[in-house]
Order: sequence, then C-alpha cells, then structure tokens
Amino acid sequence: MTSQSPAESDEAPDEYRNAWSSIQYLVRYEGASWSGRESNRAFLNLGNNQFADMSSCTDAAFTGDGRSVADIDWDDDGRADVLLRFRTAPRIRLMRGNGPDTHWVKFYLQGVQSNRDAIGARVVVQTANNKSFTRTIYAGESFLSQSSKTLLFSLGNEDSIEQVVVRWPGGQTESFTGCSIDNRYTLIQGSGKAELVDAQPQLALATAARGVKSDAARPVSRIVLTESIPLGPLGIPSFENAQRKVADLAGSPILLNLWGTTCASCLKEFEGFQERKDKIDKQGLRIVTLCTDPFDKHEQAKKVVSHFGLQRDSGYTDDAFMNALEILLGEIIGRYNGTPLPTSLLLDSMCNLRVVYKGPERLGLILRDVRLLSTINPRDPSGSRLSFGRRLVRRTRDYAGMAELFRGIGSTTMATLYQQLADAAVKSQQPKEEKKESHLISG
Amino acid sequence: MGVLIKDRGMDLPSWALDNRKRRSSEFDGWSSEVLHDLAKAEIKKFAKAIAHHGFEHIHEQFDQDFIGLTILRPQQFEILIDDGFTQASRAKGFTGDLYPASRAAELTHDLLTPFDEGVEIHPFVKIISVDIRDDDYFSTEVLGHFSAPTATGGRFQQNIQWNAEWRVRKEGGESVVRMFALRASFCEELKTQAPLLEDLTGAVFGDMAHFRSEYLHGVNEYMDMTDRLIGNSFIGAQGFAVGDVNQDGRDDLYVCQQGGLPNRLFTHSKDGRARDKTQSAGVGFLDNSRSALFLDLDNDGDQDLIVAVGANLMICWNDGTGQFNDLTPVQGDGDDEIYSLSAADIDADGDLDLYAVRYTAGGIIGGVPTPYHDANNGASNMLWRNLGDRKFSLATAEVGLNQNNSKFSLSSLWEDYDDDGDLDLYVTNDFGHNNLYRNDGGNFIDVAGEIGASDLAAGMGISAADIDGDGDMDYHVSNMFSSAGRRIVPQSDQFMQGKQEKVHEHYLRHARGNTLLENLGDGTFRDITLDAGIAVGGWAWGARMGDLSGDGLPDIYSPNGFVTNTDTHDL
Repeated sequence: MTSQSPAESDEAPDEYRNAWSSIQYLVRYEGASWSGRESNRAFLNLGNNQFADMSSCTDAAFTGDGRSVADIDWDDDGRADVLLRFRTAPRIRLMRGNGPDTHWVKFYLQGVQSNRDAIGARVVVQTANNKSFTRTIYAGESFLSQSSKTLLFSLGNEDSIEQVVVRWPGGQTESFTGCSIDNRYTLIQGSGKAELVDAQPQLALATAARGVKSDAARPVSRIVLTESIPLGPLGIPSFENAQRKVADLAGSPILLNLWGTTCASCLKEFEGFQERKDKIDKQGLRIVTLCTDPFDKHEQAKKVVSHFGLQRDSGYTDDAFMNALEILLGEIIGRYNGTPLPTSLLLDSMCNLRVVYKGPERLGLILRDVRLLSTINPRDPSGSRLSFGRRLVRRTRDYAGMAELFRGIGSTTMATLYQQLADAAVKSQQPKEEKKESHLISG
Repeated sequence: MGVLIKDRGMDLPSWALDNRKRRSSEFDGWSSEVLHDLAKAEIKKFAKAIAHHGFEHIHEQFDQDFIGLTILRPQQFEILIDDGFTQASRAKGFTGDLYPASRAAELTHDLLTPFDEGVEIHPFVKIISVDIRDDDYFSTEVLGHFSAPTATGGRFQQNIQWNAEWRVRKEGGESVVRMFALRASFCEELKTQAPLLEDLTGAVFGDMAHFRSEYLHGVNEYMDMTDRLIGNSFIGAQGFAVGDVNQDGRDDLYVCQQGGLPNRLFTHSKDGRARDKTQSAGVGFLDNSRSALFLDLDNDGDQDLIVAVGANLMICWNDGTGQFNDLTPVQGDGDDEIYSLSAADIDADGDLDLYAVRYTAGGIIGGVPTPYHDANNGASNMLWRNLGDRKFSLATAEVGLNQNNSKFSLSSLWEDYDDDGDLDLYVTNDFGHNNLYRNDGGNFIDVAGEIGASDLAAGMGISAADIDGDGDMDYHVSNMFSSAGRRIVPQSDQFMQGKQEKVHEHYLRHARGNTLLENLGDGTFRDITLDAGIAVGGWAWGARMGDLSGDGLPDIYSPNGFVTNTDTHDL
C-alpha cells in the first residue's frame, strides 16, 4: 500500500486510494488482523541514556491491542500504579506498582494566581545528596489519556529532601522546605509552606491482587436503535393472509420472531413464550412468529406454532421480507453479515422498530424493554433510554439511501415512506443550515 | 445457531479482489517476504526447542552444509544495575568464532544457564531484516528474548540478538529453508525480585455487574451490536481521564467507550474498590467519545469534565459533589472528529485553555494520507481560549497554532522544553513530521524541524520526562515498529518500482519504531533512539515514561498492537 503513495504530490493516485480501501475492507469485514496479537513492552532505564527490554519482568506484557497508559497511585503506597487501556478485552486494567519499597514523596499542588490545577507547574525535588528529580503536571499525554495531577516522585535510595522548588505556571518560582521522604504534602501557591496530608486508609481489599480475563461468552444479542425506524408498510405474510402488513397489527407492541423448524434454540425460545404467556399478555405484547423455512415446510411449521400456543399471529417470511431485513440491518449496523436464528425485532405500538435481538434473548429482558417502550416517546431525540446512558450528538438515519434500496427491490410502499421522511428531514434542516453530524444536544 | 441468510457479498471491484490476494506473501513478489515467512517458522522452532530443553536434537534443524554457530552466552557479564531488587547485566566478549554442529547441544544449553531449575521458559523471536545474498542463501537479523519466573517468585528475562544465515533448497518442488550459520552478538539479562506490576483489575472493578458485559469484551464484539447512528468505532481509540471528582483525596476515573456503550464514571471508594457513579453523576454519554479531561475550568475548586464528542466538546460542570448537571456544549470547527485533548494556560490569565487534535479530514477513505511519508491532507487541530464565565472561543490561528496544521494528529503534550517559563506544545502526527510549537510570549512557532524534534514517522503518542536527571525534559514518541517495512523498503529496485529512491529513507524511518529525543538543554534535541535501545516495540500507541522500578529514573511502558481479529494470520 505505502509503496503506491506518490513521493511528493499530494494527489492520491487511484491504486494508492484503492489499496487503503481494500486493506480497510479486509480488516473491518473479512476478519483480517493487522499487527494483531502484539504484546505491550516495557523498558528499564539503566542510566546513561540506556534502556533494556524488561517486558516479562513487569507481568504487563499483555497480548492484544494496547492503546493508552495513565499514571495513578491507586493504593497510595508511594509506588506508581498504571491504568491501561486496550481495544481488545479486558478493555481496561489497573496494575499496581509492585517494585521495591524505596523512598518517595507526593505532592498535591494548588494554584492561586495560576490555574487552580497547577497544570504546567514544574516541580524539582532536591535531596540532601544534591540529586534532583524533576516533573511537570500535565493535562493530557500518552494517547487519549490523562494521568493523575498528583505528582509522585520516586526517589530511589535518597533519604533526605533538602527543598522542593515549584515554578508555577506563569513563571513565579517558590521554594518549600521541611518535606520529608515517604510523605504526602499539599503545596499551595504563595503559602511557602508544605502541608502534610494524611495517608489514605490502607486499602485492604485492593491489596488482594486479582486479575480479570476476557469473557468468552457472546456479549449481547440486543441492538437498541438510537432512532427508531417505521415499518408500517412492511409485509409480514400470515398463514391466512399473504397480504398482511405490520401496520395491520398496530396498537400494541409486537415481537417479530424469525424461526425455523430445525432450529433448536428457536423451539426453546417458544417454550419460554408458552410458559410465560400470562406475563406476555399482561404487557400486551403480540408475538408474531415468522417461519423462515420454504413453503413445503409450512404445514409442519403451523403444527409447531400451534403446539406452543403461538398460532394466532403466526406467519412466514418471503423474499421481500428477507430483502427488507437485509436493508434494515445494513442501515442499523452499517453492514449486513448474516442473520442468525432466532432473530427478533421489537416494534412499539406505532409500528416503529426499536430493538433487534440477534440470537436468543432472555424473555425477561424483552419484557423489560416492552415496559420501557411504553414510557418513551419515539420522537424523543435523546431517547436512548432503552440502553443505559444518553446521547449528545444528533445523527439522522439515511432515509434517502433506504428509499433507494427499497425501490431497488421493488418495494414501493416502503420506498415512498422513507422518501417522505428523507424529504421532511431536508426541509426541516434548510432554514437553520445546521451541520448535519455535529449538532450537540445540550442537557 | 445456524446462519439463515449469508452475506450476499457486496460486489467487490477488481482492485479489492486483487488486494485480497495480497494477503499472501507471494502475491507481490517481495522475495524477502516469502523467505521471511520460511525463516520465521524455522527460527521459532529453533527458539522453542531451546526453551523446551531439546538441546540434543537441535542440530537436526541445521542445513546439511551448516558451517557453525557462535557461543550464544559468553561467561563474562557487565553489571549495569544491581539495587538488590532489580539486576541488569550484559554479556561481553562475543568473538564470532564458529563451532560445529556437534557443539550445538552444549552451546544452546549454556544459553539457559541463568534460568532456575524446572521453570517454564517462554521464547520470543522476531526477524527484523532479511538480506538476500544469493538465490539459495540469505541472512536475517533476529531479536528476541527468553523469559521465565524465578524459583523465588521473581522474574527473569534474557534479551538476545542473533544473525542467522539460511540455505534455500528445493525439496519435492517446495522451497525449504534451513539454518546455515548462527552468530550471537548480544545477550542481556534482567532479573527482578518480584514482577514490577501486579494486576488489581478484578479486585477493584470485578464486582460491578456491567464491568463484565462492557469491559470484558473487545471492540470487535460490540461493533456488530451497535446502532451505527451512535458512532461506531473500529480502531478502539478510546481513552480515559483521572481526577478527584468528589474531593475525597482519591483519584477517580472516567472511561470513554465506543459508541453505543456508555462512558463510565468510577469513583474510588475508601475500601479501594471502584464504584460506578455514572448514572447519578449524569455523564453516561453513549456517543463515540475518544477522550476526556478532568480540570477545574472555572477555578471554583472542583473537577469539571470535558468530553470530546465529534468535532465538539461537552463541558460538564461539577457542582462540587461529583454531580454534573450543567452542561455547556462548545462548538468546534467543521465535522472532523477529535482524538486527544490537552490543556494549558497559554495566555497566563490564570485559567486553562483547551487543545484538541484531529486525524482525518472527511473520514479515513476521504482522507487518504498523501504522500504517505509526510501527509498534509489531514484534519486541523483546535485551540479554545478560556474567556472566563464558562465561555470559550476558538483561537487557533490567533496564536499561531494554524501553522503546519493539516497533519494526521493523534496526541499532544504541553511542556516547557526550553525552560523559559512558558509551556510549549508537542503534537504527534501519523504519516510525517511532528510539530513542536515554541511559545514565544503567547504566540506559537513550529520549530520542530530546526531543533531536531520533528521525528518523521508514524507518530501516535507523546510522553515527557527527565530521563537522565539533568533537569530538562526529554520526549518519547510512540511510533510504529514494522519488521515488514524494514524488510521491504531496502529492496530499492523493487520498492515503489525502483522510483523515488530519495523517499525510501523516510519509509525506513517510518518503520523504525519508538523514538527517544534527548533534550540537550540548549533548546535542541538529539535523537538517541538507537543507542538507547528503545525502538523495537510493535505498533505502539500511547507509550508513557514513568518509574516502574523504584529507582527514581523514568522507565517506559509502551502499549502495542493495531487490530487483533478473528483471523490469526496477520496482514
């Protein structure tokens, strides 16, 4: 790829551009690794500007995709701990400094004329042996990371501090005396006096080291839509009525449940639906099973759904439905990578798609989602309450793109609906000239 | 669970299909890559045989015309450090004398002399260059280490550098590579009384239910489970911020997460465990936010939270108790997304100003870095001046930070490199030169090139510390070490079709790895990377200098790796 870059021009030739696209494609969509399974490294400072790889002596040569490091003394023992960030699981690690019990001193700085956090303050610790240790308080370093603003000086075997000199941001220099090793001090600008700070209580629990492993189980099957998608005109043929639409079932929340006669986990899910029928009915949830098998299996399918008492709204999927599903999941996830069985779509009582469950999902969770649905206005822009948290940026669905795709598969009613939504969105944006993707929702 | 309908397989253009084939080392005709793959398998087998004490059979791996191997571990060692906890020493007296295959068992056995009895030894070897001498003969530089626990619970690591020569023979139509000679040039040994770090993650975070579901799964697993409208993230660039939000004297933690998973605020309770306060604090944003800072932006004595979201900042004002009910959105320039944040008081008015770096302009495909070795088509970085009264305004150009401001920036650090009392700004850029903006009375000038700090490479992360105790601050830049790049680029007749040789050195430099810049105290820097021996890591991101060994000298911890995927074969 790099070998196709021009040497000087800033015009990217097609081959170079294409190489970028395809390497991205391989990594994003074809499961290729790219400098994967590398291990984190640590280097020991030997003095005289020499270092030695000591990764294995740290117990932190983790294999995966490492990203950032932050400095913190979590257990307040005067040995620096590190917080680590990863792309791979575990996404975060806290590693306690476990080196020798050498001397140290710790400072909490407070600016008065300077900024209160004393960001940019340069602190020099001078020892009785005339050695000096220099550190600066930063806000942002490493990569995407902010370390503690508390300055922990590791002093090695130096056992007496002569003075501490602070150059406050802005240039004013102040010296503090009377600091002793293995202690914590607050240094307030202009006070000239280092104030002793008590140690944090010994952290009994945290002294029991315990690591974590990545969780091998599938994380979730539940995809919450941050903006719902109306599905009213979507055809969901029933065994009695091949022309049935989602809109025909409006008025109560609907679970479209895709299943197959040879899918064991689907039948297991049916058992759950049967056992907890009362609860399901009480919440007004309509379960619409859609058999994905070919027509010649439909008689058998009808028997199965009857067996589980699910015959009322049962039906099947046709090509139009599967094409629609592919377009919808492409819009929601950004790509289509196959649909497992069972897959369920939870719609609110106004026929808007709100949650997709890929694979079997606990009925308790589905019913919780149904309860939450009834409390949320589908037009609420901050309506991410189905998941924990809130949104800051308003991004909008690509209804125009969806309209085009539905036109492409000959589904005129769906195409018309999405085209209307796209046109309406354009209209509402025009007067404000808002930047499409960067509007922050405040509060 | 069966797959119902398969990916209908987007219609890939022919160039993409070609590139798919490129995953095979044979496709592009890089002869070094084919030979590398063969030699890599052999050297791994060799190292594994040593680690597993298979000394007696090791000669079976040699070519029939094997000319010999050197002593791998001379007996004389120079002690570099011995503080009673950490010991480091380097072997002296490599003579280069070759010994016959019959001595191989003894010489490989001797390499393991310092390891304790009965410990499990882990081998790691990597080929960093390939030199093709002839059709059937080539040599490789090998770096690696053998490591194991000690019998008393400590750790031991032995670093080695070898030159291995190989013969290529045809056997049944296949090329077969066997070791022809082995010359050791370096052997360094480190021993610590205990591992220098100890994993507390489970003890501190493990009891929270959502920790398992949100943090014990990687980016890949959540990618397909998230509405892309919330901001999908693939490269896993999400950081964290440390600060004391509830003024109890203990640092708390805010963790940014990929879109669809809430950012989390973990407070640090008295018993040492982390507690999830996300909901009550009101900061569980679902957007793909890459970075955050805890700062007292209004100088009222508490830690406010700044979260980068898209091109903008959301400032969450702390009410003094660790609740963030007041939010102020601060608009950025354009749509390009922010990566790292940093802060400094650039105008000496007693409040903190904010700086954000950005990477691509118009998405990664829209913004293909061109030319690769020094791209200038990236996104712009931004500086907001803190006006007081919780107001901010963009002042990037006003203070001169618009110079060389279209790079692919990933991180920044404010440090007073020239010791004149004001803060200068280092910015790392992928695909090219970094910036070092010298602060001249509140006006900034990019002097990176003229003072030896520009480090043309794939700059990712930045750290500063006084590595040599001379009172001035040295820089460590995280870059990419690429064995493949170091193998391919030197084939100058083939790389870039033999054209544009003058940029080849830049490409080699891009693959060199991390960089250490020594501050000479006169306002200039010297690149001491190679002498210091810190270049070889991996695809490094946010390396940081800090003392891990308790001797007061800053060490280096470097996180590595780009994308680990289901496929174990690497691109």
